[in-house]
Amino acid sequence: MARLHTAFSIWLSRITAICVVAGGVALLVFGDKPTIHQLPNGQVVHNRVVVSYWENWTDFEGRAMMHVVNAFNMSQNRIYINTVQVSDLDIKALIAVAGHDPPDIVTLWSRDMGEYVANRALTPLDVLEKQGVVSRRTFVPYVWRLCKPFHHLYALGATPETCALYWNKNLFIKAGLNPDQPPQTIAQLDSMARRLTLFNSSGGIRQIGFLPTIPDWSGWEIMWGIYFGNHLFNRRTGGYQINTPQQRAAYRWYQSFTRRYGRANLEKFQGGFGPFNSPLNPFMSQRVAMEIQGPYFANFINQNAPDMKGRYGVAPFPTSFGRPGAAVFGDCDVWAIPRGARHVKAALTVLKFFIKQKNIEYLCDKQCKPSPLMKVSRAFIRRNPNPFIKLFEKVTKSPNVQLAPMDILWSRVYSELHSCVQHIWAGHSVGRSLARAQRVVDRWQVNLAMLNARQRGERP
Amino acid sequence: MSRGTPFTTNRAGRRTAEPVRWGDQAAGMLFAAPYLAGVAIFLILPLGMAVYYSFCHYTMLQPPIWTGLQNYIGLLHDQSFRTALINTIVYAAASLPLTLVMSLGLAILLNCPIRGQAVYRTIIFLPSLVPLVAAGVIWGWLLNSDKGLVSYLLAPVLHTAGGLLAAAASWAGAGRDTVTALQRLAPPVWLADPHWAMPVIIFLGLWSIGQTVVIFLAGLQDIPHELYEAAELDGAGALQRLRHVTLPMLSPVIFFNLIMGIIGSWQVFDLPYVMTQGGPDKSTLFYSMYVFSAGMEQLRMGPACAMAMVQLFIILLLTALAFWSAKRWVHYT
Repeated sequence: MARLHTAFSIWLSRITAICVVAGGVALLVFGDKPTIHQLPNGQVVHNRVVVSYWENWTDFEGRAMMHVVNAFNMSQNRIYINTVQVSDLDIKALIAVAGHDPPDIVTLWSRDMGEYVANRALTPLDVLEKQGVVSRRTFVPYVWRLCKPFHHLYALGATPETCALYWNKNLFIKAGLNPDQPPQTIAQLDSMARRLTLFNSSGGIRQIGFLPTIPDWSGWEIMWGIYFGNHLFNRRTGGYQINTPQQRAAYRWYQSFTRRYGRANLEKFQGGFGPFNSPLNPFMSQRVAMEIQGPYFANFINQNAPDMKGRYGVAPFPTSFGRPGAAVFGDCDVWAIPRGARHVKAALTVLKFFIKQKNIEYLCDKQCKPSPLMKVSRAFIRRNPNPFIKLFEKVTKSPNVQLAPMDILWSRVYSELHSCVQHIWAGHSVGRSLARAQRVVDRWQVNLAMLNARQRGERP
Repeated sequence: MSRGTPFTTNRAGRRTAEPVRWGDQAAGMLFAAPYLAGVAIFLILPLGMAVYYSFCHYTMLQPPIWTGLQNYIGLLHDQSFRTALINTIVYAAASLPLTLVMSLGLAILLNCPIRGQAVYRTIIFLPSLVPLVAAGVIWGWLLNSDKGLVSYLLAPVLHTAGGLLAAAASWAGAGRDTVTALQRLAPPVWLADPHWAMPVIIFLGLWSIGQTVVIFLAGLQDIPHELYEAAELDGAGALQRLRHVTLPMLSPVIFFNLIMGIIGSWQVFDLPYVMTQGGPDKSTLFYSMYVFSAGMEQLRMGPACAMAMVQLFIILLLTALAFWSAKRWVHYT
């Protein structure tokens, strides 16, 4: 019996070994097939440099970018762009750079630029400026400021997003307001919002005039100080201005909504909002009468609430200290080449193609956004599906556009301010919350300065 | 080559280990090598690097700079760290006993010889098969303050109860504010209220107790039936049998689940990350979430590694405490 058992064990071991070896061989032979790249016309790509491009647009915005990518792939026979749509691209691209395996081109948001540049995660593109491909006159001022933050060109503008006030004309009429007269000041915005707010029989909110927590994208609410005259980052001193009179005014205003309507009541009301890009969006479902949004919002309205076409208006967002548009919060998607990219030359060729006026205008047109370029064709304005494109073109070219601070600490400050604003929303003292955040951020800056000094071999 | 037992018997009749041949030793090492290499590359090396980085300023994109104890001192001044630590202690203190008691209770019930026993066991285990991220999204919708099923079902109940209580309070001469508040009794905004978000997350931790129940169930089935019979003959009632037979016999399994629970509760991440992202107002910011945020979102690998080391130390300390206390209450047969 023991011998039989031993023989069986030997047989089983041999069979297992044969299976493992056979599996390995099969994997080598059949498993590792090289990726086949195909052009839109079905033609298989051979002997081209493959430029990997990570981008964050999806759905119809992604399709617009793919159109430009396909146009490039068909336009020549040396380079092929392999596009990968990536979520949380900002974090993943940084990790890829750290792992020495980055893509050749990435799309970034303006808020990422400071961290990427300070950590030397991007390849300078100064060569494009030297070659005369781009100059300060190519892009609108704020986009150029974003692309060339510390005397070097690090990115090229793709699609700008400046914010404006959207208002629902139908709800204005129902509330007895002039549908063609948007608020000019924050005080007017408040008074109109009150008239536009309706309650149900149990005291719950049925419709609200304006809510500063919308859009509920994480972090947007930390920019309200801009509309009260604050500059969050002092570029001259390199310091953050969190606890300023303007900031305190902004967040007292922000908190006034919970005082007026009750926090639980507002949270319950907001709980019914659907995703931003769905028909359950509070503006599209007519539960919110006024909202701050970017130009792309027109695209989502066209897709999800076509009935609203012509029934909403867009105007520069009011400010507490001047005319509407005296301060504008802006963002912009940019293209950049990460540090350590394998095909920098090919990537530069691709970027040159991307920023051609024709291609930029196609992309911005399909995304309902204004152009980042100073020079705009009439056809672009004429055919752009955003009915307010002229307004957005004007706002984008305004010198009042403020970007997220371009600083190495920004993502950390952003997170701290986000918590601070949530604290204020929960009913805590505005002054104390902002003062605490200011202290925390100041300490981080001091620590960073000490660390930098130590790195340079100086006594901190 | 000898394939028999590696033991031999000496003249005194004692078993001694046969000297292992070099070939056998090499074969053994070769078979163990993949595992040892895995442990070295994926466990020991990262752990060593994490210890080193915890004493450095490191962003992954620049070479690390040695800063000594700076990261650990920085944690003392970091309010978010303190909040995450306190939240995790509260979570662990509430969720661990709750999970153990609930799962033990369910296991005892499921061990009863009743009709449809297998069906009940499957029902209890089924939620453990649902990925926590998916469960988090579903629970997020169920607990939605406006359109959620939980609030929808609870609202009429609370409305009726509130009405009755208001009438009673009015009769008892309570103030107008109290009566009005009772009349307006409504479900809370579960995940958007800092006072409710934590209890909700603790409660939802019970969603995946199926595996703990199964381990308890296996332990219960290992208890010899004769012990119950003997206890019954001695006149022990159901509660006494539970106290004097089931719990002592099950103590090694309880101990195992306690250790796993300590580790699990200090690493809670998925549900709060999906449902609340640490909010509102940091009320559900847990330790692992803050480590992730510092390391992967803010690229502060130094403080993230320091926090991970503190977490490791706390878990080791609690585990050591559990082992120390085990001498008094865990009975191995």
